[in-house]
Amino acid sequence: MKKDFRVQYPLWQISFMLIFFIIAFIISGATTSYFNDKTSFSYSIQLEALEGGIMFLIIPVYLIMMIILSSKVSKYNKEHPTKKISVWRTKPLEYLEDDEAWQMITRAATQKVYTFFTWSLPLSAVFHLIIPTTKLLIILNIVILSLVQYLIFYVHVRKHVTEEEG
Amino acid sequence: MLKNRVKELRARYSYTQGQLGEKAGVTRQTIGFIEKGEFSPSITLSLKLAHILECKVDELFWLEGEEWK
Repeated sequence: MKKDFRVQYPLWQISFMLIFFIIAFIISGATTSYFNDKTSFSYSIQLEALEGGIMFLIIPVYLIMMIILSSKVSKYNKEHPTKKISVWRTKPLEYLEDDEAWQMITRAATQKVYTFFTWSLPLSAVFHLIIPTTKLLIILNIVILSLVQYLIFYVHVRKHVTEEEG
Repeated sequence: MLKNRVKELRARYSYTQGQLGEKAGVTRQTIGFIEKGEFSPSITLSLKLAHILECKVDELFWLEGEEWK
């Protein structure tokens, strides 16, 4: 169970969110130009050398991660033909609902996440109301909330997986 | 606390956790959680386990101490 892709999936989400934030950070600091009229449309981003270099490295990393993730999903589906998963379905991939014990563990983990959002969303709203907010700060806030969300879920499930295997 | 004799009765029939889980339609891990008292099974699963282990449900599961109050 420890190596079950669904258990590890929140770590993938955390990685994707971190990469997304780096990309957002670079783009928000870049010079952008947007042009749109009846006959043409253009959008360009001009990056400094360092940011351009980071972007040059991070986009292939992002694409490689997407390929690995896709291969892990298809490997899981081959091994579990009756319980196929898909990144396109609305139900999160990390839900473990194999039987009633795993449903209980998933329910407890999602309750913890819900409790976290019950407090963090109003606090975030107040934070952005009081503090002069930039686009990047809002993105940072969302990224932090999602990181904590996935971490809460992962730690709770992992605790049970470790106990069960120990 | 919900106590149980699942491990003891499973050993009597020489079932592994996986085999018992398969017969009951649950994962091996769930049998482990039940044996350790970390998970209280539903009535349906309790009945299935009692049927497989050929005993009554109250011989397989019982309450102790504060749980009665």
